[in-house]
Amino acid sequence: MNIDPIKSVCEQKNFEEIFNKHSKTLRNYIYYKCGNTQQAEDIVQESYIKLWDNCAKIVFEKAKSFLYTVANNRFLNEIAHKKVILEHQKRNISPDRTNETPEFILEEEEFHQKLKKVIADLPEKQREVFLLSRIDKKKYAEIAEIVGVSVKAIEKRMSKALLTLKEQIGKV
Amino acid sequence: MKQNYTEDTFLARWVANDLSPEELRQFQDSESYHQFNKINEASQLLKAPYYNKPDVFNKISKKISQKNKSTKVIKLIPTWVYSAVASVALLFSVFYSYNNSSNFSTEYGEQLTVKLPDNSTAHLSANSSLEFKEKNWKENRDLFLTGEAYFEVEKGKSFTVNTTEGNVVVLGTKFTINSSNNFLEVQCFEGKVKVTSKSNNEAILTKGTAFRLYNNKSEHWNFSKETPSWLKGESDFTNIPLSQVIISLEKQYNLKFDTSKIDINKRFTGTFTHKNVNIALKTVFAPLKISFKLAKNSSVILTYN
Repeated sequence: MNIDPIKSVCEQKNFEEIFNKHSKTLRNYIYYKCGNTQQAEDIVQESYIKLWDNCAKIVFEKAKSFLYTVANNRFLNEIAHKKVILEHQKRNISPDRTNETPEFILEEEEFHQKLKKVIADLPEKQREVFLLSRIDKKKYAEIAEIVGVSVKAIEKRMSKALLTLKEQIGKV
Repeated sequence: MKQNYTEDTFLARWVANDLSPEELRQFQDSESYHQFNKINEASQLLKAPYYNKPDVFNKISKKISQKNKSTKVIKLIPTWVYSAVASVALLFSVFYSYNNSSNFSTEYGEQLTVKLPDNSTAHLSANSSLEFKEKNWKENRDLFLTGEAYFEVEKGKSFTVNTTEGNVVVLGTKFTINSSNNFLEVQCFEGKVKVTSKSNNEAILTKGTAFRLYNNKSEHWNFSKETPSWLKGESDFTNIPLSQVIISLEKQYNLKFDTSKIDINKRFTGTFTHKNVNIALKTVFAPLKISFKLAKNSSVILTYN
């Protein structure tokens, strides 16, 4: 019989654990919505401060959904939207040592540029789902929890996002 | 049937590897498969802009502590009690250190060799300090180190180097120890040393082995040099987080770095010279494809090429 002791959010150590576990995805999630890193980080800060202020009332396990709810509400109050700018990781660390032809690399690079542009043009709801899944490698169930809708709805948004991307990338 | 990918959750299930083998085979035969696959593969290489997690956490901690200050707290013990206790403690420690402790420290770019009472030596690297008590040295070889040093220890009673991140106990050997916040590195050049970190991680090192503790993770590796290279005007590193290389550069050349645009957790293996700051910066950052430029407030800004 293993009963976990109740963890208090008010304890520095636990608060820090919650920060380390969730703050990056929270920041990315807001960034995918608004395209502004500064704004996203401000919202992360505000959400965690609010969590701290209410730490006595919130169970450790519920902290995550509290954070996303606060962040979501905060975001609705913000108006400014910018385009999301993404970077892409090089597959190999030293790009000067590759056995692919220059033409191939050029084409690949061009494709990446197009892809980033059409992702930035996706409707917000499709974009956040698509990026949480592909960049932050989140499962649909977790995305559903973050966004606050059903898994089925997430799957629909994901499928739609892929369809839109395929359609748009042909046109660019 | 051919157009089944337009069904409302089909593509999502495909991405999550959730299609039946039959569905997948049909999809792979369709014209559009190649394009979807390319989009999916390329999008997995995407990255969100760099997120400076420790920085955000510091800001949050600061704001929280400011908030706490502004709320009124009724004290149980009046403030003067603290100051009285503090001044007594201060008097005591001043008295104590006058009597007993020797203190040596180095500035930016300096090195210093300290002869200890039993002929053991300590070579201090740049911006480091060492404290020990001369009284009763033979019985109690205990030192406090901040920064980096190389020790050549004569045989005798156990010799203990304390740092904020842990301590190292030896009998008679040669070794280096480098400690800063959340970082402890020990390399053994002769004999045997025992490292105990503040989290009670223990490691025993023999000649040519090294140990590192970084963010509570420990690493071990082997090396073949006979003395630490920094004694000869060069710092060398083995698979070390870039943040530590940057700390060393700061100590050596009295620089400040702005690292907000780069990933300081990348690992670095290599050396830099103590003789020329430009060559040193180039040898560290060029292979990592990081460019550096000097800002007005004399800090060095690092960005990816």
